[in-house]
Parts: sequence; C-alpha cells; structure tokens
Amino acid sequence: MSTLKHFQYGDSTGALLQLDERISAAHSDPAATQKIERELIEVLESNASLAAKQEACRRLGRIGTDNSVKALGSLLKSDDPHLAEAACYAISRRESKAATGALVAALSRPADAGLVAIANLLGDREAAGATGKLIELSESYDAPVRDSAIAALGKIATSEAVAACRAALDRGHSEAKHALLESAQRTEQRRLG
Amino acid sequence: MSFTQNRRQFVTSFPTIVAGAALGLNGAVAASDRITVGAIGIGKRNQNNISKFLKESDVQMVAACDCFADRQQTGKRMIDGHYGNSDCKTYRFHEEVLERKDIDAVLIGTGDRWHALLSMISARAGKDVYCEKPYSMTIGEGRALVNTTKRYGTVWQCGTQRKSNPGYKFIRDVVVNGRVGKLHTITTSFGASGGWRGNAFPKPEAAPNPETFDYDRWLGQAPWRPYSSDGVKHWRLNWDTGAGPIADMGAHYLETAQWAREDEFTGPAEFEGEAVFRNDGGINNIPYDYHVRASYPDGVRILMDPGPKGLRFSGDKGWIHLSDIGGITAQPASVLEGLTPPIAHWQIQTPHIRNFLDCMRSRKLTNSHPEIAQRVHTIIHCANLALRLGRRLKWNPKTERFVGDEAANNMLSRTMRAPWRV
Repeated sequence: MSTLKHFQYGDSTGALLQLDERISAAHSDPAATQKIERELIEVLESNASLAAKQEACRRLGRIGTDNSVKALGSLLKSDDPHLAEAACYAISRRESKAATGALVAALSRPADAGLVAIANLLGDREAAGATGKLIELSESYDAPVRDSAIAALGKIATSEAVAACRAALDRGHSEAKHALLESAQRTEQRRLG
Repeated sequence: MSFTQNRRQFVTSFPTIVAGAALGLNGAVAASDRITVGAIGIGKRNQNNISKFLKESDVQMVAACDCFADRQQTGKRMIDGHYGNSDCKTYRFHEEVLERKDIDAVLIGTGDRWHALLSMISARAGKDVYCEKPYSMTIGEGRALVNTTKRYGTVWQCGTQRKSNPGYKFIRDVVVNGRVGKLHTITTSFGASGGWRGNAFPKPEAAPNPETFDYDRWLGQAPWRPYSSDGVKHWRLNWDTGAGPIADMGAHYLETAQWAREDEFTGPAEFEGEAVFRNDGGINNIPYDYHVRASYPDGVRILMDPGPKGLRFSGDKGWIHLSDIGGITAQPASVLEGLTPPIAHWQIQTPHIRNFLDCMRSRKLTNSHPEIAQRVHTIIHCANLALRLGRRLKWNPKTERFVGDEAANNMLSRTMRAPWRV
C-alpha cells in the first residue's frame, strides 16, 4: 500500500494490479478485507496525491464499509472537486444512514462539480433527508448545480420535493419537466411496492 | 407520426414555390417525409454508419457533432458531398444538436462511455436513436436506458447490425428448427485483433485548446484524469473509457445466441472464467487472454474466448458455425441439407438501419430494442466482472443482482463524473 500512497498520474499501474489481486484473494476472508480497507483509509487520510486517493476510492467502492465513511466524508468537503467526486464513487455503494448523512453534510460545499456529483448521488439514493437543502440549491444561479438539485428532487419524489419541482418548472427550468416525469414514475413504483 | 405530419402541414400551408424534387415529384422522397438525422461522434465507425444512412432515400442528414473539430469537418464533408450542398451544420456540443426541433433522430457513434448517456439525453430531447454498441458501461446504466426510452416512447436501435443480417437469421433458424439437435453449447469467439492486446503508458500533458479538441467532453462520464494523448488514443484498453473486447464483439454474437434460444428477456445464471491481464504497468487493464463459461439454468453453456471471430452452435446432432466474414459451415453435412446459406458478412448493415427507420415511422420496437440489448449487455458485463473479480458469480436475471456477492453488486453501476447523470 505504500506504493499506492506515492502513486502519481503517469506512473506504472503495476501496484494497482497487485492491489486488485490482493483484494480478489481476500474475498472470502473478512479480516483480510478489513485490513485492506484500513490501509485504503490511511491513504485517504494521508497527504497522498489526488491520483492515489482516486485509486483508493475505486477500491473502497468495491470493498468499503461504514468504517470508511468518515474519511470519505472529509473528501466530500475537500476544496478539490475531483477529490469530492472520487469520494462519491466510493460512498455511492454504501447505503447506510451514515453514508447518506455524510453526503447531506457535504451539500454545504461550494457550487462546483463536486457539489453536482453529491446532489446527483443523493437523488439516486432517494434521500428524503436532503430535500430542504436541495430545494435551496434548486434555486441556485449555477445552472449545473440547480439542474442536479432539481433532478435529485424528482427522484426523491416526496410531496415536498415534487412541489419544489413544480415551482422550478414555473420558473422556466426545463429540467423540472423531466424531474416531474421521474417523480411520477417513482411514485407509481413505490405505490406498487 | 408527428414529424411527418408537422412537415406536411408546413409544406401545404407555405405559400411559395418549392422545387419539385423537394416535394417528391421526381420519385424522390419528399422533404416533408424525410427523416432528419444528426450524427454525434464522427470517428471511423460512425463515418461508416453515416455513409450507410446517406444511402437511404428517406433520410436527410443535417448535423455533424464531435469533440474533435477536424472530425466535425469530416462529417460535414461526407454529408454535404452526398447532397451536393453546404447545409450540414457542425457542432462541438450535443446539446445544440438536440435543441434543433427539425431533427428527428440521432446516430450515436462515440466512445463507449457516451453511448447510453447520450441515448438517454437524446430520448429526453424527443429524438429517436440509433446507437453504436457496446451501448452501456454497466448493467445499471443499461437498465436506466431501458427505463428512459420507455418513459419517452423513444424508438431506439442498438447498432448490432448482425441481428438484421440474413446470415445470422439463417443460423438462428437452423438452431431453432432442431437441425443441430438439442442445443448444449454456444461458442462465441471475439478475436484478438483490433489492438486489444496493445498497451500504452500515458503521461500527463497540457490539454489541447478545447476548440480543437474538447477533452472534458471526450472524457464524459469517466472518472477524471489529466489529459494524455496516449490515453485518448488508447481509450479502448481501459475500463474507465471503454467496455473491453467481450463487449465489443459480444454485443453481436451474444445477441444471436439469445435469439437462437428464443428467450431474449433473461440470461445465464452463472459466470466463471479465467483471464490474463497485462502486468507491464500501462493503461491496458482489460483481459489480454480470457475464457468465460456462462450457464443457463437449463444447462446450455455459452463459451467466450478471443479466437478468430465467429459463432458456433453445438447440439447433440451436430454444429453450425458462422465466421465474421460470412462463411457458414456445419457438421455433419445433413445440418445444411436442402438449404442454401445466404451471404452473412458483418458489413451487411443496411437491413438494420432500414429496420430502425421503418420503426421510426411505425413506432414499433426495433430488432435490437433496449430490453434485448440490455439482456445481451448484461451477459457481457457479468462475464467481465467474473474475470475482473477472479471468481464464479451467480446471477439472478429477475432481480438483476448477483447472489451472495456484494462486492460484485457494488460494480453493477458506477457514479458518473459531474455533471452527467442517468
């Protein structure tokens, strides 16, 4: 794992291949997998490069547990939107309240690609707890942020979220039309169980 | 259908002199009845598609879009050259193509990572779609496309032209009619050519002027990495940007496999195999050599390997084989007794395009409609995951989840780079 900590774009990918082989070999050994997860978290918490942390996040997306949520939550709030996106990649597989909480908390980050990625992810998770903040973002002057928030509200599809989509449609945002279609389909799916 | 009706109304109400040819008075398809198409992605593959679409008399190609400026011009030259005018517009951003109300359909032939995403964006914009394969990067992305095309009533065709090729229908019929007996094995060989076994060692470079090459657009949903000309050139060799060799040819052969089983809406339930990956530190992280075995619940097996491109159905009475350049052979000879195999070369593409255009008018499902393509690509992605994870995977085609393997389930979809989303 020390090689991964120093990994830079353009370096040999040999260490990544070895890491993947190690993860595969540990598949039926929970203790070994947990050890790898701890080492990957260490990479996230170190001063390793963006490239190294991206690669660590990829692997955490496969084998991570809630043990990695705290470290990923810090990345979600990072000034570097690429790091926040990498964290999204990893945390997207965690369906726990802790993971959702970390994503909601990160909605306070600046209006950038990282924020768009987080809003997208909260929509995918149908995170009703994010509704209030997403409604605020649905009125953002930043078009990608606004549209991602509207789309997420359509997927959340609670009455409050749908009302916010209607309001966005009234303000002339075309994304709201698609969000309302999405909400109608999801509402029906939920009704049918 | 609305696009025809609207244009007819326009023509009949427009009080001016219109050339007879434009109205179809010389036997040509009237302009009001032509399907207008924009091409997104003007690389070699889509140039081939464009050349075929241009030959259809009821098609009018009107737009060429690409993140490479020189390719935009290539598309324009092809289209304008065919029509003898300068009407084709060029675009860097697909949004501008999709905003055009006069465009009925888009022809998507980009890098793999854009296929499903652009299909969904196009569906939302009210366009029908002919989309190159492999059409998805993950099983989850593919399912999202199926849902989106249903929601918007999109006519969508996967560019697996072999599905409409008489030769493929011929071998499918031979199998369905029991000439090889009880089917037990389908062997699909995807070829080792096409540069799949090469490698590159990308180094970060200064990104080009986006007016010349828009790297951010090129990257699309793929995880961000700094620009490298080698990374762009060899995009097929890396999972971030390409779906790998099994996806490239499997989209064709596995579709025929499912078709011949007369069960296109489910799939195998177990996947296992072995792969060798390059270990020389380059960008290539796809299988160098591989052998996959996929098993249906009824015991029929699909074998996948990098042998010379072709497809073989083996039963308890014999086998029939189709090579990608069109030869059909069988053993024993009785399998083909009384039959004349048609030409089956892979370049026979027009019937598939024709099927798409006809379905645009009838609003019927295409030969390679989204659900069929999704089930085919699910086999592909399951095979890839079994190789990447290095273990046997059990798949539930109903729930579309792996059984007892959460790490594998974690790879059913992947987060898209912002601002892209499904």
